[in-house]
Amino acid sequence: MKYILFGVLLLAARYTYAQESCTLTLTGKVIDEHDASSLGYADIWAKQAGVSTISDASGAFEISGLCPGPLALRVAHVGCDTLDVAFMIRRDTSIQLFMEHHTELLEIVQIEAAKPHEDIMARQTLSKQKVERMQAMSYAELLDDELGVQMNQTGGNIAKPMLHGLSGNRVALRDNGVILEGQQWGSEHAPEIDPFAMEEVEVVYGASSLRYGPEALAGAIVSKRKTETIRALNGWVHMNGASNGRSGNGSVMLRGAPIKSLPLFAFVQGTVGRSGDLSAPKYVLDNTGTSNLHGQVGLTYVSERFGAHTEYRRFNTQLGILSFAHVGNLTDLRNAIELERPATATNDFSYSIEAPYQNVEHEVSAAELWWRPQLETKLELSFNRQYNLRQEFDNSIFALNGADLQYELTTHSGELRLDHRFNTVFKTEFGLIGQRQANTYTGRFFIPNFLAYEGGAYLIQHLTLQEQEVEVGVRYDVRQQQAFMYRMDTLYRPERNFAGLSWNVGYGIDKGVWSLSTNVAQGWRPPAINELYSNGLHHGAAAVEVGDELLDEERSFSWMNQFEVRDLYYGGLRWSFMVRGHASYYDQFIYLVPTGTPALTIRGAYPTFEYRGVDAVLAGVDASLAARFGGRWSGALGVEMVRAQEWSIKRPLIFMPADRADLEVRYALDLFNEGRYIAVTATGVNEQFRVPGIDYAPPPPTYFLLASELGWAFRLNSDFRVITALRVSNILNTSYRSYTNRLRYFADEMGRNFSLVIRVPFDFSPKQEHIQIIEQ
Amino acid sequence: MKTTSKLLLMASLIGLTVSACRTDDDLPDVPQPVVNEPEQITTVELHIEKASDSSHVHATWSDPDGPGGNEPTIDDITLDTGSVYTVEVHFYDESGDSPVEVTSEIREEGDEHFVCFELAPTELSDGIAITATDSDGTYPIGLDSEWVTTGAATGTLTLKLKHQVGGEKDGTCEPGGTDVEVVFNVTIQ
Repeated sequence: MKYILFGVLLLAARYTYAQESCTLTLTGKVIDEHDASSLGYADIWAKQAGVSTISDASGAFEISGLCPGPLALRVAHVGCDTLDVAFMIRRDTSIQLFMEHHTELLEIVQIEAAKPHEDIMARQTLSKQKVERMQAMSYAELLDDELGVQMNQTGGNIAKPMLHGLSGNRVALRDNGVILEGQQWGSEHAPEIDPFAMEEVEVVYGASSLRYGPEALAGAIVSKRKTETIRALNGWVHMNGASNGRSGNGSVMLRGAPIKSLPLFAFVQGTVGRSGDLSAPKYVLDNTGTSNLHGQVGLTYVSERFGAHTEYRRFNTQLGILSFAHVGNLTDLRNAIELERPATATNDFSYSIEAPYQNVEHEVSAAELWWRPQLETKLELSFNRQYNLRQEFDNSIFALNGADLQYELTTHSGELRLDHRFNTVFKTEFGLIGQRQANTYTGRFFIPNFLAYEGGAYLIQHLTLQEQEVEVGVRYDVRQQQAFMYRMDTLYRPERNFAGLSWNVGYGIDKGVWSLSTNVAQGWRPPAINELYSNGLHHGAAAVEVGDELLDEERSFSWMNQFEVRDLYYGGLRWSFMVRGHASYYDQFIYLVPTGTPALTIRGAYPTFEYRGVDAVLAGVDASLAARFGGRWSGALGVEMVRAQEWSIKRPLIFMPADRADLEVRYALDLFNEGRYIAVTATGVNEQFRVPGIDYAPPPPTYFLLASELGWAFRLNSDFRVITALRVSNILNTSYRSYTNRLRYFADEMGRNFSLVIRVPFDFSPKQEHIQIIEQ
Repeated sequence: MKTTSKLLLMASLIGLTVSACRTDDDLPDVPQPVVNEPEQITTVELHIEKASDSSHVHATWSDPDGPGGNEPTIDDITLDTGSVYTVEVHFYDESGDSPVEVTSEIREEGDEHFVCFELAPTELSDGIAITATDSDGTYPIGLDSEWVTTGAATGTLTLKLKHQVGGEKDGTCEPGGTDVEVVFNVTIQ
């Protein structure tokens, strides 16, 4: 329990910094709290100080060269829950650490527990504070502030994450071990993942096909629940409300191991939410309401050598589409663009969701079995079924009983995985993957029915030499796909086969104070179904989009680097610095190229776009610089930039995010920054000057936004904690438009918003002190 | 607990999960598509009757395979100078096996629809006066109209079907979304 030390923290809050002389020594011993036996070979990691060590056979350890001030330790030992403790160190100190050792949880805390990640990709883990204080309405919005992540939006309420300018079929979204299979090729698609159910979220940057499959060319977003290790009833209640949209969300998680003496963990979680029309500063964004109902339930059985897990998740949402965006043809679109205020804009707020709207349902059933015949070897078998129902209701002339367009996508996937550690240096991962996917549509034709089979195999070799690691991996995938559609009244059933090799060579070094990772990767993806066969008017985009059924695989060659310096003491401040540089070359980058000849339709003339494979180059930098002063003040500056263009004709790619900078200043109201703070954030987004010149409207101008957050956390009693945060975003009520929002032609973005979140984590475990401190 | 009972427990849990699943009812072994397009407008037909001798011509703008695919076929309109015509506008959905006329559905929702005509250049708009002769109770619908020609001219006639919902309709072509926008070449001789 990391909050056990609350009393200690309060005491420590009176402490003020003395002279910074980093010469203190911490000695200690790691002990099993059950039988007081010593725990040898535990990893002890002082993250901020950038030092780690291993306890000797008698459980003893020593860390020297520590600076006075708050010290946070993470302790990991095979078969124990990872222990986080924090305390104040003022002079040489001796401590005793008590760990809960339980063999049935051997599986959960692996040998690599001290190492936070299974690979050496460039990555960013969302802070616990941010995930716990989830104010966002959507999955994409939660991720938007992370460096290198933007939103690909359709109005204020439909958004998906974009990594370094790419989204959809180029970013894999994995939630609790299952890669999401929805209609992600569509631009007006929002991921079918409940943001309130996520407890740990991580962004993996760069081609990461080895683990996340071919559709992870730009990276992956990995979210999951916390690993279940607490037997007593525990969980949380999360509530938030916002003034803009007059929204409310409630989410509850309950978990524990209900049967005594049986290591069977169960959880149940549900979210309900509702939002009405959002508001821009000067008018209501008509029909931008959202309605959500999500739930999940699961069981995990863990023994020393064997484990099994099964879960069921259901996601239901209804999303209104901004009514101003309903245009019949290009003339309407041009007229709408010319208006500063939409013609039908009012100030009338409503909760009702009317056509045009989407109704989306997603279901995941997953099962997993694992077996660990010996400590070094693990075999995992997993299976999942996903069903995605997507209905689009248009504001069409003829009132229909059902949806104007409906897709049903059913996916069955299975994976077999083998991990083996030969010794402290070599580790191998091997996997086999199979998938069957079938899609049917009802209503207006945009993409055909299809049936696809996928198979893949990968082999990843790790080589670890103390703080250095090398990873080499290859993966081969095949996809066989048959589409079914009518052409001139005859059934047309084209079959395509795709295959490709992905590989990755990575090197990482972690010196504590600084770390570096570099990855060179080759990836590919099969063309998406719309890129091959769409043929018709894309109502959302006011364009005729024509697929090319002869398109080949998209291939990329990319280089991703991340360099980080943590807590470097210089000039009275503690500095952290991160820079992530990336560059990739795409052969056959598939995207919509304007043909220049308009298509004549009964609704008038539309510009025509064709899917083509072009050679493209994407490169960019994400950088952050953070400084802490004393125990209370901190500041962080983040910058993100992407450059993308067709290589041969030097034409910029359309819809790439503009340069952005964020500056945050934070004042901690308690010394450990455990949840009481005031933060002010300024965000500036530049105008996107690099555009191909084929857009309907010029990119929106540069804008600045100001936000502020007050966080307040306290402990109610030994079982309950209360975390609250009050946030004001767009404080100045600035009218602005975002380049990566497809509905920027029609309306401004959201105006000022007050939101309040209250989260109550609870844990009815018997309480146990995990640390005893003796100062010398 | 014995291994068998553990396995039984797991199996029943997995079974429970699987049986709760939603399925795609439209998914046969081979997912052949069904022809189930919602109604759309593919064809505009003008029935033009000359008042003096009841002579009757049809001018058609037709794109049965919808946007993309084959190019639409478009008739030209030829009118006599100094004449009066009664014109009916008809809309069809010809995407299916047999054409379906959808004009009556538009007439029924007359308070949300408006058919308007734009003539260009000025020479032509001076040469024809078009007046709608039907009404939704407040404003004209435009499905029926009277065309009075004067002098000789050539140019284009743009016919629009506007969808004006939520009290937007004000008797002009401006509000609403465009469901149909087609252009005919017109000659008055």
